[in-house]
Amino acid sequence: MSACLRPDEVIDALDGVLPASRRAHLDCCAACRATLAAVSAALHEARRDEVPEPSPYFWPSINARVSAALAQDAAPGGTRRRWWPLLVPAAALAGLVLALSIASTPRDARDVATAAAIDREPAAPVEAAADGVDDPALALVVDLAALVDDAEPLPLGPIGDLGEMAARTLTVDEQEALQALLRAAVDRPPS
Amino acid sequence: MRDHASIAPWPLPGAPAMTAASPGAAEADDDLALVDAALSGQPEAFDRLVTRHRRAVYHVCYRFVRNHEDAADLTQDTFVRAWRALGSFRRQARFSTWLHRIAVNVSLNKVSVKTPGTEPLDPEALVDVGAAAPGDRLAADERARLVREAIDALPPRQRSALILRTYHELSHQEVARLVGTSVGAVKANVFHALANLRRRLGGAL
Repeated sequence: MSACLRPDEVIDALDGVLPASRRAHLDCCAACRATLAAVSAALHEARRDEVPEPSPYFWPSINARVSAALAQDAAPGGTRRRWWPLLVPAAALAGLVLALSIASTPRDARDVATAAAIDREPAAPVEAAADGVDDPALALVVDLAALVDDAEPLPLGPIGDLGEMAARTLTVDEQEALQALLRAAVDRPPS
Repeated sequence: MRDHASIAPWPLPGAPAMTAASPGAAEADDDLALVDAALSGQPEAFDRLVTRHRRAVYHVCYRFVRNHEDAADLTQDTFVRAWRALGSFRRQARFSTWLHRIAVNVSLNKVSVKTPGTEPLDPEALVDVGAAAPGDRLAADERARLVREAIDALPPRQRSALILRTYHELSHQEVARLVGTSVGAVKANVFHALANLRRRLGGAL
């Protein structure tokens, strides 16, 4: 008698595709028939395992979840994703360099004196002076000056008041120009 | 002499469809058209692919993790990974087969980090001689639970081969391509999976 069925041949027999020569062995071998019957019974048992059907609302939610997850991806294949991991840290590094360059402006004696001078200037209300201002830059300065009105303190948080911020971020020339503009706005006679 | 030909071929005739059947040739071609459309910048095409295959993917994932929440997460993860890798889909297999592969991989990764399951089943403990009549629903549910636990206890390759072959009706060639092995190895894994199943449920081959 030929050799008994191999495991893969038992599966072929289960599928009904066992070659004729091997089917002949099956006809003669009780052990192989018993094995095939047992495997078939186990398959029948496996069929008892069902997947519980989820709510009908679940299926559309899968599409929504996938769409939301893919919203961050620009295109299939990830062509944009190849440089995205580099862009974020590069932008962050550029921002950090810019912030450091601004913050590292040395506070020499002149800066200290200028900051002190700004602090000593009376914070006169200049809201009325903003009316009819044509120069956008001057209008911005006037608006900034209005912010240092002691009657309306601003919660500027860790930075402190506007004067301290100006001392930290503006160059000496810029601080002097701002001071001049503020003085001119304060000294302008009311219309 | 027993007529071995009377043993039902795979799948068992009359057996209820456990999940979405494998797509026919026409649907497979349509899948490729949708893939092309998605690659050309039409996201709605990929959404149609999700709609078409979400049930089958969910069923694959569920059979590994056995709970709805994890299966839902893995289903989402499968389609997200498919989207990102869509450009590398080489069309050597059907899109559904390729998708199944991703689902199996994410599911196996998930179960590999889970804590070990229950103790190995004692075959003698499984047979409850005091059970009600075979038609009793409670006994049927208990039996189904035992089957689930026995399947869950299978080694990964046997479990994967059994799931894909039994419930998703993938051919042996598709399963072999999906898990990266030979057709003969797939058949052997299925055989040993069923043998282990039989052993755990109180019988022996």
